[in-house]
Amino acid sequence: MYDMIAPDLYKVALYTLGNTHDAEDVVSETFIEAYKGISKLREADKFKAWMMKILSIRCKRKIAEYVKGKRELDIETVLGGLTDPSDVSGEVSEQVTVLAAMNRLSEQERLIIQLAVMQGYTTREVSEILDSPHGTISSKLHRALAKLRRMIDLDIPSRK
Amino acid sequence: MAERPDNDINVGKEIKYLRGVLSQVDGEIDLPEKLRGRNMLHKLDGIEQSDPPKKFWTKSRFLSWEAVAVYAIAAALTILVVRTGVINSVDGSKTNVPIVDTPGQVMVPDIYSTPGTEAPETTEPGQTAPEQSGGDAVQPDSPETQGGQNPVQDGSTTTPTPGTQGSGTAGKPVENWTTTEPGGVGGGGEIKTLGEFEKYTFIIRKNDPNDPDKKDYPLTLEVVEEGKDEIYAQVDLTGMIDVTTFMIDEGYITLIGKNDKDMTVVSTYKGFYTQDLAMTGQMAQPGLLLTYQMRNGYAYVVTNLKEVPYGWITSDTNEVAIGDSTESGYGVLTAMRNATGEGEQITIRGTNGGGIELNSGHMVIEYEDYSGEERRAKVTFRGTRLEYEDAK
Repeated sequence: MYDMIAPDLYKVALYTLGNTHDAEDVVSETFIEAYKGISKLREADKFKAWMMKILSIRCKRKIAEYVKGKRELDIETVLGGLTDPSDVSGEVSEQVTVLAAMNRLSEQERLIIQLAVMQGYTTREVSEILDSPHGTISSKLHRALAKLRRMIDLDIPSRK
Repeated sequence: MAERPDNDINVGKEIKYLRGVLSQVDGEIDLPEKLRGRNMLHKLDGIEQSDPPKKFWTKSRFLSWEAVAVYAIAAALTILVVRTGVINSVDGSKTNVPIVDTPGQVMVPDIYSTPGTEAPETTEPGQTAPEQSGGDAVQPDSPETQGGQNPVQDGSTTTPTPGTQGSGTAGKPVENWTTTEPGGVGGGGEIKTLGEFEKYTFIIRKNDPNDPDKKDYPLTLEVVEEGKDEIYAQVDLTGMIDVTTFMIDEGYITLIGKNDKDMTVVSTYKGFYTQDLAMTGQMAQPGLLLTYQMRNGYAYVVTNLKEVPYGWITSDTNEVAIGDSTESGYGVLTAMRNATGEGEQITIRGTNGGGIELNSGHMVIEYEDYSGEERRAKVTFRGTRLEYEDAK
């Protein structure tokens, strides 16, 4: 079961934290923590959401360390070694632009977007995973998407 | 090329667009070999799996069923007593009580009555329940009031208890109404004796809804002085349809009850010693009363519930989440300054109430995190300012 969801855990961690090293750390920690606390999982069909919850807590702790240490994120480099958007064109250029815009969001916003957009959770499920009120998650997702759209439109004015 | 959304914010379109753009990037992200399951197993060497979570509800449910059985027996005995007119006291002697032929009126305080919990006691008209007539005396020195706590799990409840004794005196909650005959102090009607303090007894009286002077006041607080056949002080209560608990400290009285929206209500009154009672403040909070305390000029009241009602979470209710708690319920704490009625509330997500304690100057919330460790978050009282602190 772990192997089936591990890639998704890793992607969420990578998008959220922006570097492979920390993403590997939190996935590893999540694996161990889940093993220790597996008896607390009451519904087997919620295994993935439960793992995501543990992962999100680990990500939050890691983010808290960034705040203390003022660590910079480097999401473009992590995601496929993409560099300057001017070096590429077409779809790749758009991907770079979107990734660069995502990099300007907060870690929490990236986490919400990852869960809601790429992992396909509903906002209510995201609110349960992140232990946050549903209304808060909905408004944060809306704000984050609006921010992204503004930044993308600025970078790709011709496609407006 | 993925379809771009227009300038209007449309969450659905934005999500579709992002999925379109990022799906290729997503597909290129491979799980590092060292994170694959077979390569992670060695990390589990020496790590023990935790025991199944403590099921607080199991004990609670057990107690509840036990309580149901006890109260069922008590109810049967009560009926027997009413029909035979005889009650056996503890020492075996027999006392005559009035025989009531008409069906008794059962008072069920809604907010504290949930399936599977303690059954409410019944009170027959004309019968003065022995326990109630003597008042549910305040027992500030009893072990139960010295920090006894009361978990509220899965919507069930048992009797709330005072927190670790503060500077004030707190009574135990009283839920039963008693019908009294005309002629006594305050006349006949339905009353509830909340408890005693010094030489005074605190009584809540239900007012006649047809009385034009009382139509806006369903209840009145009466304070009766021992040995005197008159009311020492009284005040009509606003915003409350039931009162279960009182606390008193330096002449300030705090009542805890509920309003017509099933919210727990905290009201504080001044003027006890001058016999001129007046409300200084009132605050409402959702949930069932869990524990309470009067300390150093402030009243602290904690309720517990599974889900807060829609609209409760605002900047004024200060929601915080215990991020790594496995529990999903809420605890709501109100702190109110007795003299002015000003107060603050904090809503804590991640507690089912089983580990909440009011202590000197702070509230502790025990919970289990995902690794099975028992952790303690804390809310420190700085007057009415409440400061939440995550577990270390």
